[in-house]
Parts: sequence; structure tokens; C-alpha cells
Amino acid sequence: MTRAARILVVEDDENIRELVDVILSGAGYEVTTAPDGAAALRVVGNARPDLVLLDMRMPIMDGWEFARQYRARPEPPAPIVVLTAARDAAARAAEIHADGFLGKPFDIESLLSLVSQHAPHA
Amino acid sequence: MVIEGRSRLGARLRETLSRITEEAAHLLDVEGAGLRLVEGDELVRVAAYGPEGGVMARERLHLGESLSGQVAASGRPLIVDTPDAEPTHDPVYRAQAQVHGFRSWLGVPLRDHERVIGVLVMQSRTERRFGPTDVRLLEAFAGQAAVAIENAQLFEREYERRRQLEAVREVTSWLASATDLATLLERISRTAADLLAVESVAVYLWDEAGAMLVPRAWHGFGDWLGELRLRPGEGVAGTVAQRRAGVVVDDYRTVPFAQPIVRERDVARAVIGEPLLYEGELRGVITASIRNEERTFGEQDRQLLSLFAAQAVIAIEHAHLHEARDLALAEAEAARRRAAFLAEASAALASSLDYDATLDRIARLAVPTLADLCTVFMLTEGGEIRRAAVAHVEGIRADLAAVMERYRTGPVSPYGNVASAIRTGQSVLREQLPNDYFEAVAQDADDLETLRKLDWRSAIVVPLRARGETAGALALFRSGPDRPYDPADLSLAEELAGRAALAVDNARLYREARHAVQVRDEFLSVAAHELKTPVTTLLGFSQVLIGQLSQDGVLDERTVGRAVRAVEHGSRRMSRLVAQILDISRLDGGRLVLDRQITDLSALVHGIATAMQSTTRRHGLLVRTPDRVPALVDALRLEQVVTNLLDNAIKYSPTGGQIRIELEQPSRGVARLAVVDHGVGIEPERRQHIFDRFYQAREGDHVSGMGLGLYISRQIVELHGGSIEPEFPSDGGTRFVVELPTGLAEGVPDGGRGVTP
Repeated sequence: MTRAARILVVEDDENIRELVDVILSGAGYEVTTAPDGAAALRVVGNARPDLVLLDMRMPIMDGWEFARQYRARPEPPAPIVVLTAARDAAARAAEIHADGFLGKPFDIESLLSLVSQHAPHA
Repeated sequence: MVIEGRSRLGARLRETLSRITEEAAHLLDVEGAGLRLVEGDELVRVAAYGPEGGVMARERLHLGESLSGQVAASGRPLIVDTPDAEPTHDPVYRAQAQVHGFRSWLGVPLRDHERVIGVLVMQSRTERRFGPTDVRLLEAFAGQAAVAIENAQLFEREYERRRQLEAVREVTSWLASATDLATLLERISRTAADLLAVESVAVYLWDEAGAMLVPRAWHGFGDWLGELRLRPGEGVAGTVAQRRAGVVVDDYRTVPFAQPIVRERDVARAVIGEPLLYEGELRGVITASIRNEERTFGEQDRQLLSLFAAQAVIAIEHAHLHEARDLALAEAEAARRRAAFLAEASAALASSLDYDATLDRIARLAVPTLADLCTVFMLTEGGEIRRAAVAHVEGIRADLAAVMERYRTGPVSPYGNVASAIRTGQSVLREQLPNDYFEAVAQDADDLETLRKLDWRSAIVVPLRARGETAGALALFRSGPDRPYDPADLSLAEELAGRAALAVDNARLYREARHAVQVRDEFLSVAAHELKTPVTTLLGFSQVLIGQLSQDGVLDERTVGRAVRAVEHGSRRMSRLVAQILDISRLDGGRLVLDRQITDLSALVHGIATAMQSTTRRHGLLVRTPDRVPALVDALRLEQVVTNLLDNAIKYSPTGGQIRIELEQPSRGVARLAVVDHGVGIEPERRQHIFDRFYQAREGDHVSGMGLGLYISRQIVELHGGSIEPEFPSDGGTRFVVELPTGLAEGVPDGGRGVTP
């Protein structure tokens, strides 16, 4: 029996958070959400994600700071895919050495293909 | 015949007198001989023959005094056989006769017609006594000698006159050698002193504007004379000027027009003065004076000085013309240089629009033509003065590199010339910086040391003014004592400052324009980013629904509910963003027009608060308003303002908390709304910008929004004639206070105050 891959969605916009949750849950992933970097760091221990979908511009703690602190944790970090509305999404992804990026707005297919590539069901 | 003074005996005459004396001694075969000439009521020694100091020991004798005096007074020869014992003989001579063994004394008068002009004296050491033969022989010789002396004196006078004419001719020759006025006056003074054989000469020039005589060159006087100013009628010179004719004074101490200071400082008695007249116009006065002597000026002196003055004034006039021409040439050259300098400055300043480069260029332009050190001071937005650019001459200050660096970055005194020029908009010219200047402006001990080491002596500060505003100042300094600034330097500096101010202003406008473009680009980028967020929601949920429909034609009820709510929310957000962009466009074009209706502000505030409360569970909105606050306002626009303030309060309180909305009427006709949060607040250095367009109060926090809300809100409030002010309570958070005129002359009766949770 396969285990559903666990995805952590860190996104400050409530609607987008819900959208990603609906899409990925519908595709059989186990989804945890957080509205900012600090909230994400609080849940990451329990959630043990296989992949982090990370927005960059967020209040309280932004994507840059989250990536730094997340990777400083003792357990091996999951791959990070940047989710951004910035013009230069690739550059943003490179800044934190992300494993992939997805510009907003995005197609469901693109999201699903990127997630399955980085977080295949075990 | 008049002997005018011992000092005036020429060498030739002296030789003649010695020879006469010596020949007489040989003629009578005596060991001692002497000759005295009459001068006033005295007999003055003019030649001596025999043992050193043995004859003619006394220089002057009165007529009647001693043996020679008796001969001169009586006009008759005299023989004395015991000169060492003769009681009427001067005791000095009696002693001398004993020492040198003179046994017999003979004196005969020298005559010019009937007048006694001198005495010839013979003294013998031998046993022989002088007798009638000796007297006749000596008298005959004296007759010859008198003629010889007369001739020698005539020759001497002629010689002197020629010498004087020569000196006068020499003055004339200066006409051709175009010397400068100061040197010429100096030479005139010296030559006059030689010519008249006097110790003191002063040359005054007539100052037409001041109607007075000003001393310009002198000999034999102290520096005090330079301070003297004589009006017509004052002193000898003033009297000469008034009479336009020569004046001769025998004793200065007794004349009515004597100047107290001259009488006090100078011991002169006889004074002569001649006007310097050029074509009948008074150009000045020359005076000469004699001290400590009985000599006075005679007609001959007066004629000579008059002749000399006539020549001198031509030379003076000539030098004046030369000087005027040189001055005109120098001025033309200076004007040409100024024009070239300013043309170069204009070209250099026009070559760049870069603000900092322009400031640097201005500083460098002034060095070295105008200054050893030039500093451009600019007024900051906060009203402080800072050094924006510094340039100094190469080399001379190399040893002071550290001092210069400290100067560049050091404090600027609010009491110095720079601050004063910026404050008043007026230039400052300090030809000589006072010794205590640095003490007055130094901000601390280090600063004082820096300023002292730079050793500035002269300074100009000109304000940089463009379009009626003083943006800064240009300070020019020269070190060293020999090149103080003058008004011509100031006017050149002002010309430079005028051009510099324009260049700085252009560079500033260019920088602002460029900044505006940058801000707009940034805004477009932010706006696109902001729009992408709701578009992501709309597109995503539409695809989710389409996917469900195409898969099995059945829509999951829960998903549909979430999707529709998200689409509705996203659409509203897009619509608000678009409205804001349109508002900006309207405000920029002045096309935002209010649609005023009588509105109850209490109801309006409650309505918005209720709607906003439904969007957040983390925040508690607490509303306090009177029952009714009617006002003549554009309700939709005010809704926008209140919504924006609440939106900000929520946005900047990311961890939640209470938000208070308080509406009140502090006085009739005024409504006041306060929105208070306890969120993250605004950093002090960013507070002054929060109402700027496209400005986000907390850049690092990535709070969503385009930075337009407060800008638009303020415009709307101000269109209503009201104001909006932020307050920053010490316990954190932010309090925005909006005051609006209600626009209703008579307030509707105030209902009681109510509290709505």
C-alpha cells in the first residue's frame, strides 16, 4: 500500500491557500497549510512534508527567512518549490536555491506535474 | 651779498676760502691764520690755517665778541701783542695762544664796498710784532680776497641755480618715463628735499570728492602724517590750496592756521608751500620745512619751488593718465577673464545632469580662479546644512589631508557665515576673517583645530538661489595674508553661484523626474503582482470546477461552495484594485469630483465595520459613535476612506487584536473619526512618507497592497476640506484621525451617545 505524499503549503493569501489545498487534496496528497513562514516552522515538525510549496512575500516571516531556518533544522529538509507572482520567478527561486518554481497564476496541470515530480507517492 | 647758511657753502667756495687764508699766511709768513664770514649778527668760521685746534677753535662768535668780533664790529684792523694776556680776547683763545706760543695777533676786516663781510686773522709765534706794514699788506690782500670771495659766491649761486634747473629738467624727463603715480610722488618728494636742501617735504593731492588734501608722499615725517587730512585754510598746505598761491612761513608755531597735531609732532619752524596747478585747476600742494635752524625760506626758494611744482604737476597729470589707462586695460582684461571663466563654468555645468556630479563640478570650477578652497553646502530636507562637495588647490594642503577629511565630514555651525547666507539669501564678503572667527563657529575642540590648520584668511559665501528658493550656499576661502577678497571677487562669485544654482536645480528636477519614472515602474510591477493574486484564485477555482464537470459531470457541493466564495472574494479584490488605479488617474488629472449628499456618518461607520468584521476572526472591531452624525459628504468616497483605514489597521496587525473606531463631534460643524490599532506601527523614519503615492509603510514585511490607499484617502479627505493625521502612541500601534467639516451650518440636535459593540 502506498503512502500519500505530504505537502506543506506556505501562502499568505487565504484563497490561494485554499485553492492549492483543494487541488492537491483532490489528487490524493496529504496537505498541511500555513499563512506565513513562522506558522509553517511551528507545524513542520509534525507535518514532516515531502515537499514545501512556498510563497515568498508574506507578513511576519517571509519565504527567504523560512527557507533559511527550515534548512537549518536537524532533519533532512524536503525540496522547496517557490510559488510566486513576481515577474522574475526563476530569479526568486535561485535566491533560495529552490528545487523548482511556479509563477502565479498557474494551471492545475502544471501544479500537479511539478508536485508529482518532486514528491512522488511513496 | 647774502650767505644763506653754512650748509649751503659749495665745495668750490670752500676751497677758495681755504686758499685765500693759506696765501695770506704765506704772505705774512705766520704760523696761524683764519677766516670768518658775517652771517646775520654772527661771525662764522669758514677756513683755518695752522696747528690743529690752534686757531679758530670756536665756530661762531657774536659781532663784538673777542678780538675778531671787535674787528668786525669796528670795521678797523687790530693788532694785539700779548694775545695770551689780552682781557678782551676770548678765554679759549688766550689759553690756545699760551699752548701754541702765539705772540702777536692781527685782524683786518673784509669789505664789500662799505659793508664788513668777514675778518681775516693772522697769528705769529716769532719775536716779530705786527706793524703798520703788515696791516697795509694784509688790507690790500683782503681787498683782493673780498673780490675773489664775491666771485666764488656768484659762481656758487650760478652753479647752484644750474643744479636746481637740472633737477627741474630731470622732473620733466619723468614725463616720458611713464612711472606709476606712487613712485613718481615719492621721487618728487625726494627731489624737492634735495633741491631746497631741507629735511622735510610733503606732497598732498587734492581729493575732489572729499574737498580735502590727502598726503601721498613725504620725507622727514613719521607715519602719522599719512592720517592727516587738510581742508582749504587748514595748515600751510590748506592755506596754499585756498589761495592757490605759494605761502612762506618763518615760524610755523606762530601762524594762525597751524595744525595742532603738526605743531605737536613736528619741530619745523620755516615752512614753504606751493600749489600744484594744472591748467588752473588745483591738483595738490607741495610743502617743505626746516627744523632746528635759523634759516628761513627766501624769494629764491619760492621761485625754485614754484618752477619745480609746475613741472611736477605735469608729471603727476601724466602718471594719472597712465594709471587711468592701465586701470582701464586691467579692467578690460579682468572683464574678459570673467566672461571666459563664466562661459567655461556654464559649459561645464551644462555638460551633466547628474546631481552629485554637478555639485562636484561647481566646487572644482571655483578652484583656483576664485578660491583656494571651495565648499558647496546644501540644505537637506530636514533643514540641516551639509557639505555636499569640497574642492581645494593641489599641493599646498597635501599635508592636511586628514584635516580636510575631518572638515568634509565635520559639523556645520548654525552661527557661521554659511548658515547666515542660507537663512537670509544674502551674500557675505569677509575680506579679513577676524581672529576669533573660528572660535565663534567651531562646534568642538577638534573642529576648532581643523579650522585653524586650514588657515583661512578671507571668505566669500554666496547663496545658491533658484526659482526664489535658497537650496544651499557656495563658500570660497583664501588662505594666506596677501590676497584678500574684494567686491569684484564677490560679484564674480555671485555670477558663478547664479549659474551653479540653476545647474543644481536642473539636476535636482532631472533626478526627481527620473525618480518618478522609477516609482511608476515599480508601481506597475507591484500592481501586476497584486492583480496576479486574485487572478490566480479565479483561474484556479474555475479550472477545479471545469475539471470536475469534465470528469464525471458531478460537482462536489463543498468544493463548489469554497470555489464560489473565493471567486467572489477575488473578483471584489480585483475590482478594488482597478478602482484604485482609476482613482489615481482621476486625481492626477484633477478629475475626481465629489457627489455630496446628506449622510449619517454613524450609520456609514457601523456598516463598514460590520462588513469588515466578517472578513477576520483574529481582530475585534470596537465601534463608538453618537446616534447620528449627519454631514454633507460623498458617501461612497468616505466609505473608501474608512474601509482603507480599517483595512490598514487589520493588515498591520497580523497577529490580531482589538481595533477601535471612534466617531465624535468635538465642536459644532466638525466630525472626527479615529481608527486605532495595536499593530506593528510605522518606523519613525518612514512616517513622513506614508501619504506618498505608491508608498508602503513597512517595506520589508511584504504586506499586500499597492501603496495607494492612504494617498487616495488623504486626497478625498482634503477634497472635503478636512484633514487626516497619523499619531503614534507610545504603547505602539497607530492612530489615524480624520477631521471633516460636516458642511451643515446648523447641527442637527445631538442625540445621546451610544456604544455599539
